[in-house]
This record gives sequence, C-alpha cells and structure tokens, in this order.
Amino acid sequence: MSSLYFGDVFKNADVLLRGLGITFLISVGSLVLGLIIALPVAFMRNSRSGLLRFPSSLYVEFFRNTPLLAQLFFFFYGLPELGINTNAIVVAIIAIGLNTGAYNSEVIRAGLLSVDKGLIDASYALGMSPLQSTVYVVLPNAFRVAFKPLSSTFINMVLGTSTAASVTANELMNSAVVLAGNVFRPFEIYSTIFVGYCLLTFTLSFIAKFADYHLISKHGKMKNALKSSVGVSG
Amino acid sequence: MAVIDIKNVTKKFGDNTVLNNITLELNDEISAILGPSGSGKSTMLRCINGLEPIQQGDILVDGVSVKTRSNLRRIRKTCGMVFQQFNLFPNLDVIQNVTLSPIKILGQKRASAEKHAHSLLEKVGLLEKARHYPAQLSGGQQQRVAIARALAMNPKILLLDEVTSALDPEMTADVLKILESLAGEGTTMIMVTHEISFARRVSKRILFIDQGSIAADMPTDAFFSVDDQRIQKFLQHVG
Amino acid sequence: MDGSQFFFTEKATELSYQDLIFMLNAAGTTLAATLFSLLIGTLLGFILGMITTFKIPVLNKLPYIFIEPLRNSPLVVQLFLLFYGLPMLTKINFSKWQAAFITLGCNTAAFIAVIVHASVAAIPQHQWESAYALGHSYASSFTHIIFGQAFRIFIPPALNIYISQLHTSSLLSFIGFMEITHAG
Repeated sequence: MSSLYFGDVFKNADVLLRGLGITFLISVGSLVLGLIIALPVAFMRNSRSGLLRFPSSLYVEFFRNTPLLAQLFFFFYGLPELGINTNAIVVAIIAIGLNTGAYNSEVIRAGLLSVDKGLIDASYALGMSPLQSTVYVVLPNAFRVAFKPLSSTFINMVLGTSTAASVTANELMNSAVVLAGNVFRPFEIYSTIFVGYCLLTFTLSFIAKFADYHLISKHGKMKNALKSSVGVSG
Repeated sequence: MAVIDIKNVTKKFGDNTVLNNITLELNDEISAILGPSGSGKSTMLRCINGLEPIQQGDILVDGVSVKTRSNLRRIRKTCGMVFQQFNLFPNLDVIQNVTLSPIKILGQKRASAEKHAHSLLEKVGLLEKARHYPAQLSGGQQQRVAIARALAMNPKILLLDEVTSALDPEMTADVLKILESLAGEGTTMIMVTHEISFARRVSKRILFIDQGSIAADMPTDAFFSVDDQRIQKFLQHVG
Repeated sequence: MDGSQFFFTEKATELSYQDLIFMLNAAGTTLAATLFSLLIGTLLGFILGMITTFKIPVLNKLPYIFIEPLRNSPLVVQLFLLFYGLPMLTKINFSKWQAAFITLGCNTAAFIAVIVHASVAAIPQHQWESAYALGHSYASSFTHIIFGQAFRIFIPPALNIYISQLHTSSLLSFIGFMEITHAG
C-alpha cells in the first residue's frame, strides 16, 4: 500500500486543466443548443394543435426516459452510419444538448403555464397582439419562475458531461482516466477532480443564486413559485 | 349615436348560458352595472373589449364590430380596462408598466410617454413610486397604477371590473376618490361594482343584471326609488 | 491498470448474438441489484435527512459533510474514487460490482436526504406547535402528525430521483457487461 503523493498531479495539472476546458466547451455548447431547442418545444407542447404537440412530446419523452449514456452511444455510433463523421466533442454536445433541451423544455413549459391569466388579459386589454403579449409579458414572467430550476438542470448537466468520457471525448473525467493510466496515482488524481467538480458546482450555484437575487427576487417575490422538478441528465 | 351597441348577445361557457340575448345601448355617460354574483356582469364587460368571444349577436364599439379579429386592437384602444386583480406586470416597474403599451402600440417616443405617465401618476398620487416594482406596493397602490396604465392609452371609455372588490375599506376609499375625480372630469366609465353608494353618487344610469338578463335599466334616481321587489331585496342585501 | 475497461470500446455492430444474451442477463441482475441499492440508499437518506431536521445545533449540519460532495460531483468520479482510492488508504478492496452499488446507494442517499429535509421543512410551523400544545413529544408529533403530510410531499421529487438514478445506473450496468466479455 503506497503513501499518498500529490506531486504527480501538480506536475500534470495541464492535462487536467485542458480536460476542464473541454468540459466547459461541451457545457456551453450543450447549454446553447439546449435552450435553442427548449423554448420552441415548450411552446409546441402547450399548443392547441395536435400536429405541434405530437412531435414535441415524442422528443421530450424520448430524451427524458432514456439514459444519457444510451443517447451518447446512439449518436456516437449512429451518426457515422448516416455519413456524418465528426469528433467526439461535437457528438457530446449534440447528445447532451438534446438531452438537456428536453428537460429544460419541461421547466420552461411549467414557467409559461404559471403566468397568471390575468396578466395576459391585461396585455390584450392594452392593445397588445398575442405575439407582443408573449414577448413583453409572458416570457419575462415565465423566465422569472423558471430561472432557478433551469440553473439547477444546467449544473446537473455540467456534472453529466463526465459521461461523455465513455465516447472518448477528452473532457475532465477522461483526462483523469488517461492520466491515471500513465502515472498510476489514481487516488490522488480522482480525489483532485472530485474536489474540482465540487468546486465547479459550488461556483456555478453561487453565480446562479446571485443572478437570481439581482435580476429577480430583489424586485419582490411572485406568488406562484415553481416546485423544483430537477432532471438529472446523467 | 351610442358608443357601445350590444345587439342580441348570447354568451355561453360550455353548456352554461351566462348572457341571454342581451340588447343594450351604452352612451357617453357614466353607467354602473349592478347585480348578484354570477349574473354575468363581468362577462359582459369582457365581451365588450373582446376578451371573451360571443356565440350569438354582435357588439359594436364606436361602430366597429367586436367579432372581427382585426378590429380588436382598435376597440381596445377605445376601451381601457381596469381589473379586479390589478394585473400589473411584475417584471416591470411602475413607470414601465404605464408606458409599455403607449410606446409599443401607440408608437409614442419614450420621452413623451414618460412625461404623460408622470402626469397620470401624479393624478393618482403615486409619482414617488415610479421606479418601484408592483410587489413592493400595496393593493390599493397597485390598483391606482393600473388606472394610470389604462388611462395612458387615452381611451374614450374606461371599463372598470369590480376594481375595489379585492381591496380593504381604506384602500377602497383611496381608489374611489380617484374614480370620483375622473368622473368629475367627464370620463366615460362603465363600472361593474358592489359599491352601491359610490355608484349612486357618480353614475347617471344603473343597469341591473340578474341571471344573464337585464332586469332593470334606468336613471340612477329612478333605480333607487323604484317599486320592484327584486331590486329592493338586492339593495337590502348589499346594504 | 487505467479505468478504460469501464468504458465501451467496441463498435456496436461487432456484438455477437451471445454477447446480447450476456448483456440481457447482466441487465436483469443489474436491475435487481440496482433497485436494492436504491432501497438501501433511501433508508440511509431517510436517516440522514431526519438528522438534518432535528433542532440540535451542530448535529443537524453533520450529514451535509456526506451529502454535499455526493450531490455535487458526477457518479462516475465517485465510483472511481471508491474503487481505486479506498484500496490505497485502507486494506479494503471492493469488486467492481460492490463498488458500483455502494456508490449508487450513497449517491441516492444524498439526494433522498435533501428531499426528506425539504418535505419536513415544508410542513408549516403551526402543525408542530399544535402538536406540542396537545402534549406530543418531538417523536410523537413526527410519527402521528408530520410524517403523513411530509410523505405526500416527498413522493414526486423522490420518484424523479429514482428515475434519474435508474438512468445513471445504466452506466454501471456496462461494467457488468465488460466483466463478462473481458473475463474480469
């Protein structure tokens, strides 16, 4: 049984930091993709037209009821079969983005439904068209309710990027595994990234709470609080 | 010519007939709509500015039909509405609430819209709260802002849907004071209300609606001295 | 000895029929074992969560030493740390399966503990006050009055956690597959 030695970790910190950078890259890419998809899907799910509800519900149910790992494999092995050859990071962004998009659309949908009907009445009574009402009244107020759960799913998604290691994306977890193979200091390496992930989460949580206070809560609490339904994406 | 022309209007919610073949002409005066709860008073108001669709009949606001969707914007510019639950936009502060529609719908420049808003807020006594958010205001204050917001669109008619029903007596008095001064200025108002003494004081005409039909339609003085059992019973109940 | 045997490196089309049988078998046993570890995790989580609801100053914060790291890091990292880290510190050597299910159990416990805390905290203070006024002790109040209400609040988020843990455990079931095909 060996004694602990962290020196090897520090000497190879650049490997881990590069991995962390890839984690950031995948996280941001997935976040953007996820939000771009989530907003229209949320509206489609709430729509009166079955033609819009069906495909959007199918999408959400598929990505919420299957494991992220399976989704990653689906794209990692499936895309080349379709002739799309691209690197693991892009695959990860696509899979994780679609996954988080499904969870986010539910959160946004609940936020949209939580907007008091009276506000919509008032906006119409003031002469706004449905589009204007949605943009100036419904969306901002839905966002106020959805922000906290959305930041929660985002943080879970960041943790879920570690699953992308299984499709060879060289983010933080994968970098650690490779490093452990070269340096044979698994405990030091894994405990370092363990702490690293925790710090990352705490930082993101802090930023989210700060943003929530200054953009939203400061101006007074709203009556309808969305009960947090956190979706873990991995 | 009547400002609001209601012709044979029937309105149902599912199987429930809320307004039963109503025909009515509302003029350029202050009218109060009274009646028991559930009689269809608020619904009628909401049909006038197109918030509720009507199944039969038609409503003409300033000669324009409410049944054509493209007319609705014009109708809603003509009729301003104040709601029982205030319905201020929580994401905007007071001045933004008041100026949002004038800027986006009427195309006013921000500077002139804000100037107009300032004078309206002063009229309702809330100028110092201009940069506050609705959640930081009391119910009565929110309602006064709501009145300013409706007035900012320069409507010809003000529709008031039980605007004091959600307020305690002190705040009710504040809001009624504002409405009374508006009445003094000659603003056309159609108010659904339970404030009987207030209605008696400011309105020229009383409409009494019961179970979806107009049970009475007469000048104020006549209404309060009429020899009708149903009306007398109602007035006793409401005190 | 790197961690790559945890990860899938063959192309899906190279799987033979026998591999699929093995996979299904592994999946079956894995599911049962997963449910068991969710159960253990729930029990542990319940205990930890209850401790956080006590009014005793330092004690009610202690569980967070366990809960916070587990909630805020990926399951895979926890697994690797347990499987590779523990043998370096102590004489204990878990098998891959044991490590996997201990990790899943502890991870579940962390999430469940938070939900337990939130459910109990959601019960209005006046419920407790009424109970005390009627002469109940803490334990009696909890058993007779608080628990039933809290449990109803507990169910929906807990179900969400179970579903997401089942998803995550799919990661662990691959370990079983790799065990079988690579002969350990």
